[in-house]
Amino acid sequence: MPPTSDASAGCFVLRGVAGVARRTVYCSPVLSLFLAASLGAASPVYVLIVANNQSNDPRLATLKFADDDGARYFTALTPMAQHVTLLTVLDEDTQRRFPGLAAQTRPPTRPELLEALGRINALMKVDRAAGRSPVFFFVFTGHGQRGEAGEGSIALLGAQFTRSDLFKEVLEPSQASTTHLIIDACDSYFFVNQRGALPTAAGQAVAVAQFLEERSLERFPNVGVVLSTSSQQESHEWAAINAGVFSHEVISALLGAADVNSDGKIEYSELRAFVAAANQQVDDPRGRVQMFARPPARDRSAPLVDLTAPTTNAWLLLPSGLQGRHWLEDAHGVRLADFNKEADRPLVLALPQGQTFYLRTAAREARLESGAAGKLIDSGQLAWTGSGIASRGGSLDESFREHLFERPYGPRFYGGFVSSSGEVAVAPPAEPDLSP
Amino acid sequence: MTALTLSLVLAASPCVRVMVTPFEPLATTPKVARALEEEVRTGLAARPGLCVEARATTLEKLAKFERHRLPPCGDLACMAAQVSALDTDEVLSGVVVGTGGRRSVDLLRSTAVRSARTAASELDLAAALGVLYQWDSHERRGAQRWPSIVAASVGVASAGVGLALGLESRRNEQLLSSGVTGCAGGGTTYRDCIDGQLRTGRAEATAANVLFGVAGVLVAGAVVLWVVELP
Repeated sequence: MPPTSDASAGCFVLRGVAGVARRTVYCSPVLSLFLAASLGAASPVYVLIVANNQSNDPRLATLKFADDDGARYFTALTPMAQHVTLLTVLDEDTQRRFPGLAAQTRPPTRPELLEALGRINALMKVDRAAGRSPVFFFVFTGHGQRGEAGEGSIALLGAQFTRSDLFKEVLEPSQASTTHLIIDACDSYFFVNQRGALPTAAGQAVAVAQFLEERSLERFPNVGVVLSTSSQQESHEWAAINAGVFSHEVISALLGAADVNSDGKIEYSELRAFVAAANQQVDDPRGRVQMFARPPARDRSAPLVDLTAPTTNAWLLLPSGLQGRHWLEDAHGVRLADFNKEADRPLVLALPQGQTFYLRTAAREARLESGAAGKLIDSGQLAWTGSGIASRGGSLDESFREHLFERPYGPRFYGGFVSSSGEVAVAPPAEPDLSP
Repeated sequence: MTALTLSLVLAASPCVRVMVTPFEPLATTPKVARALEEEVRTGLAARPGLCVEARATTLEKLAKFERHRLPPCGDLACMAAQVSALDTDEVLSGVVVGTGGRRSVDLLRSTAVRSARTAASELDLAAALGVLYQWDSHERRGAQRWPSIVAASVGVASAGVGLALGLESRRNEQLLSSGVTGCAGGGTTYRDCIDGQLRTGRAEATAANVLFGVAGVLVAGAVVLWVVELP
């Protein structure tokens, strides 16, 4: 799937007089800059994605799909963002699945990461000076580890990036009004949160306590975190979708599948409930994705994604009445989103513009062209045909295939989830105007 | 005259009753959804042959459903039952979508026998209604053909009868001119016979001319009806 980059985002539709005459699609790099500057002016979005298949520990096997996950985050978030940086080395298969993307990447090394952070902070500083409220996404997919001192780290190319680094290099200098950390790595909980104390001599206890306090998320009320807390590598990746399961679920949610109250905003509680529903029926313990999510303390209803903001996406509407497990794939076989919809309410999903997609169930499929930015496609209008989905082996594969997203997600599931978890629930859905 | 009468009968036929259910907001506010619903109501009311049910009446009918929302139908049998139970001919429901900084409308039109849906930007609302009501245009066009066809048929028949009468009249004239009268006797009897044949010939000629006139009017009317769409 050709990713939607800044360049392709610069397409717009010119209407004739009264909006009824012929429409023409124009694309140009100059217009791309104009569009990028005009997108989401109040809360411009900046995204830094680090995706690394490699580990710095020879005992850990190389991951297969961390680079795919990075590419998929890039594809999903680019239409909504002003600036997206992808630090990764795409393997051969991934370059085939995402043609043209490799040229837009930089290697996931520490110097590149620090340089990207500096560049993004400079842009966000300008935004703040202009009275805007920039939103920053820091996304990592790859290997995570917990060191002997209990401090978590993530694997960059040739170096580890520790929790201390996270606070010192990412959070403390950040110019963002709101930051979302999305970490899909083993032991990622310990990359963000402190646990226990470092082994030190008694005389250093006060200094250590102070150090830990400074490195606490509590000091950053504008930071929200979404972490995969599974500890087994096998639970992270599923060959049938060429992706990590956790990242796939998060991306599905962010594209709109988690929007339970139809307000176009994906809040943390919706993401948590969506992921919980997706994994609820998975019976193989190796396949259960564990998640830790905490919204920014300053505003626990702060959305991760606001689909009402200007973007270059097209949209797929799944009307009331449509229900069950569906997934979206592009023409290169890249799975964009999975969901199991309850029938009660309509749902809208973001689609990168100008591409071919297939909406599939286990038994049938429908082809659709996403078309120009802003186009709304009603899935009820699609022509469905029968389809045969080839099955691949393995018990974990079967468990994913049969049980991932088996549980329908919607207002009913969400209601039960928040009442049992104590989450701050989203606002009730807006009802139609019933005045005569 | 026949064509005009048929046209008037068609135009006076009862209108199709349309219930427009309150539009649902998705990623937008109820106020925006209501505004677009009103635009659709106005657009429908301007379409010939449709009677849009008053919103208050619709709300009364929907009060028995949870949150005034019709349960979604998955098949035609369900839709037919729903339309019949709501005492209307068709139901138009809509979802107003406010994603990506724009507004779009998804419309579903359900009758007892079929349904159609379309999605469009709010700027293309009129075109979307056109797409949704495409099948009526085809059907109404089919229904509009028959007065034209009847008028043309009667016109052609009139012309045929007129032609026959005209030929008969001309044949009688030629016979009389050549002295082949077929009248026997003489004096008054012969004159009366000749006068009778002359009257018959004139009557046939007059009838033929009248029928040609009628045929001309009917064929012209048929052509007009074929080309022009009835209201």
